[in-house]
Amino acid sequence: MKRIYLIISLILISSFLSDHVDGQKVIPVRDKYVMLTMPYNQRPLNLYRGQFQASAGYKFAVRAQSFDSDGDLVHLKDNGTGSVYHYYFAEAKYGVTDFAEIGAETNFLRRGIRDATVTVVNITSTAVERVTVNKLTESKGMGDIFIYTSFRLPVKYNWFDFGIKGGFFLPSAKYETPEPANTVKAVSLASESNTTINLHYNYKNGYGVPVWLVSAASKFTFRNLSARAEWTMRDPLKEGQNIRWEEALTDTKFSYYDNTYSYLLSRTCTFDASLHYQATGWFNVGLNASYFKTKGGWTEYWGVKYENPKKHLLNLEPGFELQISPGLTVYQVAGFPLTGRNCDAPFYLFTTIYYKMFPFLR
Amino acid sequence: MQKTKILQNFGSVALIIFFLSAAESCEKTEYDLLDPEDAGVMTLFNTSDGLPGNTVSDIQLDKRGNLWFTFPGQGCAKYSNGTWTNFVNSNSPLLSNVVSCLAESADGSIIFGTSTGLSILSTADTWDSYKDPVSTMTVTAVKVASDRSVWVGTSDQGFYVNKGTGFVKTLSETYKSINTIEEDNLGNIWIGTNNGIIRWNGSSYNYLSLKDGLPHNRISSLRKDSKKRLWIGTRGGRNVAWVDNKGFHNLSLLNGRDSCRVNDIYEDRRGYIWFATADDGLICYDGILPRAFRVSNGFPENTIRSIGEDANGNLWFGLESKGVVRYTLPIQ
Repeated sequence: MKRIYLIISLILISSFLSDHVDGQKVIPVRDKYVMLTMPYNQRPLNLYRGQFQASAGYKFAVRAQSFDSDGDLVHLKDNGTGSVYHYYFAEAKYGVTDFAEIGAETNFLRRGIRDATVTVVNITSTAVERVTVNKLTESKGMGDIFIYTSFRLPVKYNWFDFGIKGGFFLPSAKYETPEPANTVKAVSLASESNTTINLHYNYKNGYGVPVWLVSAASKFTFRNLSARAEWTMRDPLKEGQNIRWEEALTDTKFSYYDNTYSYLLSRTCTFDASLHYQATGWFNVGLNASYFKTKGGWTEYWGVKYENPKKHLLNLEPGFELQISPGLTVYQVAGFPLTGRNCDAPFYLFTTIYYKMFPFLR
Repeated sequence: MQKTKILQNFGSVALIIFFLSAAESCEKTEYDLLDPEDAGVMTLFNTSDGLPGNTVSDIQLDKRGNLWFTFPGQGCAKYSNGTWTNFVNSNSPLLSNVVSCLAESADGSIIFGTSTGLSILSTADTWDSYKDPVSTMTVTAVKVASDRSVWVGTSDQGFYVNKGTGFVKTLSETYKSINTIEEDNLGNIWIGTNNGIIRWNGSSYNYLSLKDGLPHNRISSLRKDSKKRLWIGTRGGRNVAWVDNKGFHNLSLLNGRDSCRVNDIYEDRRGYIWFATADDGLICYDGILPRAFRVSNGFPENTIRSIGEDANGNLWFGLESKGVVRYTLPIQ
């Protein structure tokens, strides 16, 4: 934990020092409207000095398929566990200099997975018992707060840029899994009984432990075409602890018992490569290939540590960026999963609205 | 000049952040991790793998991590580090090859219940035995209680108790056939007989039968769980039952019959309760719904005699005629 404080201090000190940088004067004329309306293919990787950007995003994902441990596609609709989820995202960042920026982001997730209903009918010579089980698994809540700083090459952007980014995801709320909220309804008539059990499991959003992230990005522009590549790695700082709930049904009342378990998150590497075409000054279309892979980590199951299943997923993301006004831009991508292993493969639409301004520039 | 310096400063800070983070990630502890692909896997062992027999009547884990098995007619065996060591009366002083049950005593000795008495294997690998000098002691159940007393049930001679001063026999015509013995979370000893339950509360015995809420009088299995419940399995009852501080509760195993025969009951590390039945397969109760493992869905046999657990949390199911199945708990 001391190390986290040290790194956060370094970020803050660097930000403080950068306030004293008297401009690099690489942009001879600092016209804020020119900078705010700069097309994608002429923009550097970072914000300009003094520029503030707030963004809000919404991702709607249809979780209709997943990839199993052999990489085979599983149609979740067929086994009754298809679902949708809603992911909200907010970010604020500030250009400390033309080559350094700081920012923070967080998210909110809401996802419910309803399993296929299971009904068991037990017929004996003297009685008929019918038990129906409905199961809803919900994940909901605020994600971690990601604070970061990023740096780019200290030159004016003409056709090539390179930047690095580092930061931490800090837990924003209690990550512990809340108690299930199961209910039971039982009706008995002479020799026939009907019992309906509604299982409702709740999970939180977030990692539960601090996670660090580093990334490197580069961007090339040739006339109206731009290419961008970004590599990101995130890894936990330490092991975490959470609880699993055991449940026991007595007549129509559930009792719950919690069990603590440990885990170590996997290291995740993401690689994005995109190609963009600047159709007009205010409209850009692009195609991104996004690949992520996990490695390492473990989870304790009842006293025994199991290696986390290795995951990977390749998504193809066509998208566009539309400048609505000097301060307002909309960016939207659609995600199509192509191949993967051990993970959900949702189709998604991710829309982000950016609001940009220069609060201290007249 | 000063600007260049500050820029260099930024570069240095970035590098420091990167290397500190990288160093932190290298400090992780190494563990022996299990492969997630192994979870949820069942493996069958039988005589071709070195077992002395294919009928397994009891399975117990000792404090040293050895897993012990009894084979009625074929002696007993120890499974340790992937190796089977078999004990029969031709290679050891075992009283009889008809071994039906076992328990570990407080000093680590293994007590085997045989058709003619008790055989005891000490931690120094020396054998001892106990036989009733008057009648044939066909042992059906052995339990070592938390106060170190040893309770032994027999098929037709009632039960014997050794509280450190030697075995004392208790025989009553009504309760002469003992099938199972268990200690509950309060230290009471429950003795399952063919005519109900005898409960010893430390100072007196009392008796429970059908009219008190038992599903049937022929008690075949008793097992306490981590939730302070005592599970009761019978031969002939429609349901299984459990007793807690609020009294008796019934659970239907949804086996499609008017009765079920429960040979053994076990709680796994997840808190799920397993029932080894005769003809109805292995039934797992997750606290919500009983689910059966039968020949029809890939399990080797529909009659299961015993359930045990090894030091890694794997469950072992002793079958009627096909050996023993090891089950690694699923992780989802």
